[in-house]
Parts: sequence; structure tokens; C-alpha cells
Amino acid sequence: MLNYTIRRLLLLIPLLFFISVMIFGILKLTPGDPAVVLLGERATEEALELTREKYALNSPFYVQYVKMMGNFFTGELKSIYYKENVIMVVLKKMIPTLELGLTALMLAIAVSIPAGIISSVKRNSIFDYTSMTTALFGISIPVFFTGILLIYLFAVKLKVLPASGYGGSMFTIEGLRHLVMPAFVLSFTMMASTTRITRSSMLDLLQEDYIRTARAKGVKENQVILKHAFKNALMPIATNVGNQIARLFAGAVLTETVFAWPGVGRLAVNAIFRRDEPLVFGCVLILSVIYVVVNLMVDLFYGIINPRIRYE
Amino acid sequence: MPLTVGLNHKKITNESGAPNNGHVRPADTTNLKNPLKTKIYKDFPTKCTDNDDLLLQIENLKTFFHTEDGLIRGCDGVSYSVKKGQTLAVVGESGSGKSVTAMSILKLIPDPPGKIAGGRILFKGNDLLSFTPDEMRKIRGNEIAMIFQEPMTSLNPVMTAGEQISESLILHRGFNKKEAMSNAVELLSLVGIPAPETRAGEYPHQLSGGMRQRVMIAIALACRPDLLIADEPTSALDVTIQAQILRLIKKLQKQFGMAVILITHDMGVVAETADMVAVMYCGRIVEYGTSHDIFFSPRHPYLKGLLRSVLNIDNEEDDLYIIEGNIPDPLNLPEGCPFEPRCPEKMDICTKQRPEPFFFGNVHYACCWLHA
Repeated sequence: MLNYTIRRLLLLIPLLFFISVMIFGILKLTPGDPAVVLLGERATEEALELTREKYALNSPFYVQYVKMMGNFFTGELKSIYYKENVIMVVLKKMIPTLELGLTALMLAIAVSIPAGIISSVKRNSIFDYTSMTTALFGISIPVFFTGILLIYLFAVKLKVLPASGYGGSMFTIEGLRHLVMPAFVLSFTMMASTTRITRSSMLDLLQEDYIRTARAKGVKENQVILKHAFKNALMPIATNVGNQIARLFAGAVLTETVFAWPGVGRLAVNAIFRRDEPLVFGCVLILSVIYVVVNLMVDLFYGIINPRIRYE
Repeated sequence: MPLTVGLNHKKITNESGAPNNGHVRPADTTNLKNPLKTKIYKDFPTKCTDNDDLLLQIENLKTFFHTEDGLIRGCDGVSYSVKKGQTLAVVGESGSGKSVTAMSILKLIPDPPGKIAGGRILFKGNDLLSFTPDEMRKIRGNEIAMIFQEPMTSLNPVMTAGEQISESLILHRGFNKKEAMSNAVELLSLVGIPAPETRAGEYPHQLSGGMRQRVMIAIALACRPDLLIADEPTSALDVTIQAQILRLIKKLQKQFGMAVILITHDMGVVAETADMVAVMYCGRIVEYGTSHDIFFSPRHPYLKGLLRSVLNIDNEEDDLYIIEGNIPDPLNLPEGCPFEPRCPEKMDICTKQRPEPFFFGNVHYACCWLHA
């Protein structure tokens, strides 16, 4: 297991290299001149040329790449807009994003797994129909639309929750009040798809022969469901949650923009608008690292929950 | 040991005196000339209740499935009884209702679509159909245990063999985890698994098919049940393993004095193990008798056909006999005898009226107009 983990971690290096080249390539293909952005529309040609020289914007592609990567790792890659090390800029915005993301994740898991299990056990009941219909909405409605609807309802009409912004740490009342809506909006899609996956895998598993064996042993019905069936359902659920965590970041970009949440998602969007190439590069690379690490964790989690998977 | 057999409350002494031999074979007595030959079946079970050895008695059990296409009578008025320590073999084609009857005993019929529509299941004199789910759970795995056809899929893939065996000990015997696990290891060695300590910690995918079925048997035997229902325990195994598993079940049956209901479609297995045999067709018992009756004086054309289609090494004929046709659509059973469309000896009455049981002795009966 330890060997496997180390091997997988080493494999991340070429993967991240590839990702960084891709990000860099796409950045370079995007129209717009960082020098113009930096100096403004009215800058003289000489000044622009000097800036391009300063940021090595005239060198060949690979030279620029190597320089950017080198600067990134030595902490010298500075955001054009913030004039600060990009890693530091991203990390500062990371706390609100993590608060938002983790709350959404917990909320989604806490709601969807029980809902999925109950739906499968009480199949075709009112509960089942209600949760499946809600899940259908959750999957179909885009994050930003749910966000706007909620803002209209709770902030504009009912005036119970703040419309947007960050209210400080989530462990304060004000912070929590600001967190409720964006966290719910962000978790809604994930909640919906996890409920559906939980329900359908549980329905499949409850038909299995070993469930009959468990019942024939005299196992209590709730134990049959939670111990015998759910333990097997964890596999597809973990896969789905893993994928959803990745989407959480994509969703965070939209949610943070709608709710003016000062997180990494909004930072990345703003960086793109400002043609702040180094910052875009830093944001996307750091999000990619989180993404591949989460995937690795899901893979390792398989080994724990499924005895048929043993990592050598 | 005096044993009461049959309808007329006649006491017959079994000459061998073996305690586990419930029924006296007709060859040993003059039962074949019994005047009660055409006794109507519905009186039969109640008259047997005075027998102390009776462990399980099913009376007129009906289990129906309400499907979208219509009502399927999975088990339609089945009655049989099992005595302590005895083996009852239930034979029949796929879909004849053997398993449905057995699953009904444990009330494991998935509902919906299945429902036990009528009858009684008397176990040690109590009607299981009147039991609450909680009371029923105390019977399952404890007093009545079941092993299933598919050892490959009948074990939970994410639990070790030991955990799965100890589960029922923890449930029914109140053992703690450690006691249960050491008991599970003993059970594994009892069912002939080498290196039981290691095997107890292994998962089903690490075990072979035969071993998994042994684990299933260990699970079933954990609480020393009085009745073991074995639903085609060897169908999914290869032939060499089949014999081993059957021998194991037989050995353990003797050791624990268990009664066994063996569901099978293998007449060879029946001949080897059964005391009593029930032949099922389309959810009904068509012939019932001791193993001797069934093999030496079969009465129902279906049973005769079944016996003729058994492969026999001494058989000089070139072709194996087959019963023509297929079992009828369970949604559209013939009005009369369900075997009538395939029957080589059919008569006019067969299409019109469902045959009642006709007796040839105290226990042996066949539902066929030929013997009216």
C-alpha cells in the first residue's frame, strides 16, 4: 500500500508536467497582450517593448515556459495585477474556497446518502418520487441560475440572508450566514447526482444473492441495508463523490462569481479578464494539483473499502 | 422404536429401529394394499399431527406473484411434512415452485411482487405465517437455515468468511466478536476447510467455488439448526465437488440430527440422500412418497418420464428419453392437469378437471386421473 502510494505520487510528476504545458499553451493561444493590459491602452510602443522584454514575452515558447515554471517553483512568479508571488495570492484566497467547498461537500454527502438509501428501500414511495424529482432539478438547473433564484428569494424578497460577499470565518455567525446560500447552491448538483447513484446502486445490491443470505441468517433489516448492502454500494458512491469533488471546483468558479465570494474561483476568473497570465497559470496549476490528489485519494480509498482491490 | 405412520393411526414398528427413519418403506409392510387408496388428500396433513417426530408441516401453502402481466401461482396448494432428522427431496424442473415453497418457509419471498396467499407452515407446532418479522428473524439462521444454489454470489464480497459465519452466532447466540470468530474457525474445520484460521480471514473472492459452498454450509450450521433447507446446493459446482458437498451435508446431518429439505433436479442425488420425495410440477406436488415408492413404483406419467430421462450406463437404447414439450406458461396454466399437454397417457378428463391426489398406501400418492 505504501509502495503503491509512493509510486502513484511519483506518477503525478509527469502528469502535472503535461498539465502545465497544456495550461501554458492555451494561455499563449488566448488573444490579448499582457503588456497592453499592464500599461494600459495609451502606453508608448517603447514602454510596451520594455515590458515585454522584462516579462520575456518575446522569447520563444519553450523559453517562456521554462522561465515561468522556474519562477513558479522558486516563488518568483509574480502576478501582474497584484505584484505579488502567485502562490501566495492563490493561498490567501484558498481559505474561503475551502470553507465553501468542504461545507458543500459535507452537506451533499449528509443529505444525499441517507436520501438515496431511503429512496431505494422505500422504492416508489412519495419520498422516493420527491427526492428523485428534486434530484432531477438539481442535475438540470445550472449553478448560477439556482444561485440567482436563491438570492432573489432569500435576500431580496425575504431579506433573511445576505445577498453576497464573504462574512469572515465560517465559525462566526456572520460568516455562516454568508456561507449558507453559496454552499447550498454549490452542493445542489453534487447532492442530486450522489442521491441518484446511491439509490440505483442500492437497488441493484438489494437484489443480490448475498442480501438474501444475510436475511436467511436472521440479520436485522437495517443491518442488512447498512452493513451488507451499503458497504458494497460505497464503491460507486466513492467514484461519484470523487468526480463531484473535481466538479466542485468548476462549480466554485460560478458560485463564487455569482455570490462575489473571494475565493480561488473568482480569482481565476478575474485573472483571466485582466490577462494576468502568471496568475491564471498559478490558479489553474494549483487547482489541477488538488484535482489529481483528490483522485489519488479516491483510488486509495477503494483499496480500503473493496477487498478485491489490493495495491501491491 | 414405535412410529406412527399415515392416516389410520396404525402403529408400526420399524424393524431396524433407527431413530431417524421416519417412514417405513412399503416393501417392508403390506401397505400397498391399503384400502385408503383413493383417500382425498386434503384430510392427509391434519391426521398426521399426532406424530411427535414431526418438525415441519406445510399445509396447502399458496404463494402468488402479482406481476404486471398477471398472477403467477408460484406455489399453489403445496403440502408436505418433514420429520426430525429426515431428508425430504423436492424435485422438479426449473420454475416448478420448489424454491418458492422453500423460500416461503423462511418468509423470504420478495414482497412485492410475491405474497403468501394462504395455507399454514407449522414448525414445531407453531404457524410461521402468524409470526411477526422479529419472531421470524429469530427462527432464520437459528432453527431453520438455508443454503443457496450460487455459492459464487451468495457470500458478501466485502466481508471475510469468518465475519459472515460469526454474524449469526453474534445474533442468535449472543456471542461477542472474539468467541464468535473462534467458533467460526471451528465450523470451517468442521466443513472440511484446510487451514481454517487463515481462511476465516479471507474474502470470498479468495476462495474456490467448492470452498465457498462449504463456507455457506458453515454459516447455515453455525447455530445448529433443526432444519436445513438446501436449495440446489450443488448445481453450480463441478461434478467432483458435488459429491463431496453432498457427502458433507449428509455427514453433518447425521452428526447434528438435522432434518434436511433438499431441493434438486438431479434424480441421482435424490436416490442417494432422500427418505421422502416430493415431485413438483407447475407449483403443485404431483407425486409424493418414500424414496422407494418414487424409484420403484412411480405412478405419475411426469415422474415416469423424469426417471426414464436419467442417464443410465446400463441403458442399451441409443437416444436419451426426453419429455416432449415445455412447461406451460405460468400465466396461462391449463384448466385441468398442468401436465396434460405433454402427457403421453392423457385422457378426456385431464383437460377438464384438476386431478386430486390418489393414494397408494399411507403416504405415497399421485395427482393423476390414471389412478382414479
